[in-house]
Amino acid sequence: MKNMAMGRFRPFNTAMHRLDARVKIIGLIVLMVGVFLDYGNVPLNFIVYGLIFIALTVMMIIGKVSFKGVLRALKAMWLMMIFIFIFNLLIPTKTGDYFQIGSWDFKIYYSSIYNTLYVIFRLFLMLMMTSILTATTSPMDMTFALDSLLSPLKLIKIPVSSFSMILALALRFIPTLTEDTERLMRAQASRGVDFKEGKLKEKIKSITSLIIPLFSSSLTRSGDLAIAMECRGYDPRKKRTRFRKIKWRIVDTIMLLILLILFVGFILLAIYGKDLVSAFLGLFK
Amino acid sequence: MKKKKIDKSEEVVIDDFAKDTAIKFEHVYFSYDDKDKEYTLKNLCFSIMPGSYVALIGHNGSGKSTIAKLICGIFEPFKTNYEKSGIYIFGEKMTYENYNRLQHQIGMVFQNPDNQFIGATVKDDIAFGLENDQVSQDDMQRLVEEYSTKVGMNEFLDREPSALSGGQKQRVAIAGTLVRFPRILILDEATSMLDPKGKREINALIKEMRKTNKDLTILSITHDIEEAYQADEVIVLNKGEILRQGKPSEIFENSDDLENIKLDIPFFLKLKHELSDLGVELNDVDDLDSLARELCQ
Repeated sequence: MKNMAMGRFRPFNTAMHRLDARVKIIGLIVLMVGVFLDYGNVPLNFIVYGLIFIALTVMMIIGKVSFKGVLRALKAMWLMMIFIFIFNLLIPTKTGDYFQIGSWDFKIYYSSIYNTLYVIFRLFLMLMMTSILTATTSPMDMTFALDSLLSPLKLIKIPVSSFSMILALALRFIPTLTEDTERLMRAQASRGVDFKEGKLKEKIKSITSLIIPLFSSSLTRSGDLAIAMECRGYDPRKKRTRFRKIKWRIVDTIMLLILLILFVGFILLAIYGKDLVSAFLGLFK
Repeated sequence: MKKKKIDKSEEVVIDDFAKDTAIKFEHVYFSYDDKDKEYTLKNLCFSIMPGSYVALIGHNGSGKSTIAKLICGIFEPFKTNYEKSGIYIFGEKMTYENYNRLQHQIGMVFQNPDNQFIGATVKDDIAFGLENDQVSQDDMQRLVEEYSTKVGMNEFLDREPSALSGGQKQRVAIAGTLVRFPRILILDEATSMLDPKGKREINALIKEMRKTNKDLTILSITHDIEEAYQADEVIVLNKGEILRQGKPSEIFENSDDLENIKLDIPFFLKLKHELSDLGVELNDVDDLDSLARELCQ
C-alpha cells in the first residue's frame, strides 16, 4: 500500500512536472470529454480510446508516473466491473446483433459487451489521467490552479479558495491515511482479524473493524490540523500570497492551443464521426 | 471564537498591572461544556515574563493543552464578574476584537508532527504561515531558506512529509512557526511522540533558539520531567489549578506535594537524594551529566 501511486505527488523535475498546473487541469477536462463522448460508431470509439491511451502512456513515461498503481486500482474494481457487465446484460431495451449460448433462451447483445468495454476503458483512462495529474502536480500547485481557474465564481460569492484548500489537504493526507490504514490493518490482524480469507459476511465485518478506528483517527487529525492552520494564521476569507513561483511559459501556451484543437476535434468527431466513417468506408466500395 | 478581520486602526490598550508580562492569566475559568459545573481550568492566575522559558507540567487532563489553546485564542475563557479577569498578551487583554492581531505574536508547535504538516513538501510547509501573512514571494524565498537552515532542514526542502523522520517533521514545524517572528513560542508536548534521537534534536534546537533569540518567550507543555528541569521556571498544574510555580530547583527539591499527585521528579535528582541519604553530598548538579562528573571527582 505504501507504494501506491494513485493520488500521490512524486516530486521529480520532468517536463510534465514543469507544465503549469492550470494547463494540466484543463487537459484533464478536455481528455475526460474525449473519453466520455460517444462517437456513434464502435470502431471509432475504440480508435479514439486507443489514441488517448497512447498519449497518456507517453505522458506517464515523461512524468515518471508508475503504471503499477493504475493497474492495482483497476484490479481493485473488478467486482464493480462484473456488476456493470451483468446490469448491461439485463437492460431490456437492446437492439442490433446478438448471440445465444447453447440452447439457453437468453440473448446476449453485442452492444451490452461493447457498453461494458466502454465503461472499463473509460475507467482505466480516467485512472491514468488522475494519476498523471496528482503525481506531477503538488497539492499546493493544484490549489493555486483551481483557485485561478475557478476565480470567476468568486464574483457570485462562492468560496473557491476554501474548496481548493480542502482538495489540497485531501491530496496531502492520502499517504498519511494510507499509512494509518496499514497500521490499523496490522493492529487488527494481530488481534485475529483476517482481511483476506473468509466469507463475504466475515470480510465485511473485518472491514468494519478497520473503518471505525480509521474514521476516529481521521476526525482527530482534521481537528488538530484545523487548529494548526489557525495558529499559523490561516483564514479562508483572507487573501494569501503564493510561495511557489509559477511563470506562464510559451510551452504552456502551445499546450493550451493543442488542447483547444483537441477539444474542438472531439466535439466535431462526436457530431460528424458516423458520417466520416461512412464516407471513408464508401471510398473503398 | 468567531473570526474577525484585522482592523489596522485598532487601538492597543495595555493594562498597567500586566504590562511587564508576556502572558498573564488573571482569574481565568474555562470548561469545554457550558453546562458543565466542573471547570477544566479554575480561577487560574499566573504570569510568564518576556524572554523566559517556562515548563508547564501536570497529569493528562490537568488542563495543560487547554491553557495553550486559550493563549492562542482558539478557545475563549469564561466571562466572570471580575472586570480584569482574562488573558493578557504583552499587557493587552485578549478580546474578540483583538485576538486575531494578538495571535500573530504567538506560534504553537503541536504533539503530532503529522497533524501539523500542511504543505506538500518541507519548503511549502514552512511557507504556509508566510502565505497567510501575505509576505511577498521574494521575501518568502529568503525566509524559507534562512529558517530551514536554522533548524538544519535546508537540505531537505523538496522532501515530502512521508520521507522525513518524526524529529525532522517537528523541526519543520518549529521553522514554520518561527518564520512568522512570534514573540511567544508554545511547545505542546512537542517531543512526546519522538524517539530519543528526535527528542535530543528538538531540545538542542530549543537551547540554540534561546541563545540566538533572547527575547523569545517559550512555554513548553511537557510530560518529560528532565526537560522541564532545564526551564527557567516550572508551573505544576493539577485538576485545572496551579499547584506550584517556581524555579525548577525549588519545585523538584521539595517534592512532597508532587509525590502526592504522583508526579515524578528527575532521575538525577532521585539519585542525588538517594546518595545524600547514604552520606554522599553533591552540589551544582542540574542534570545527569553533571551528576556523573561530580561523582567521578
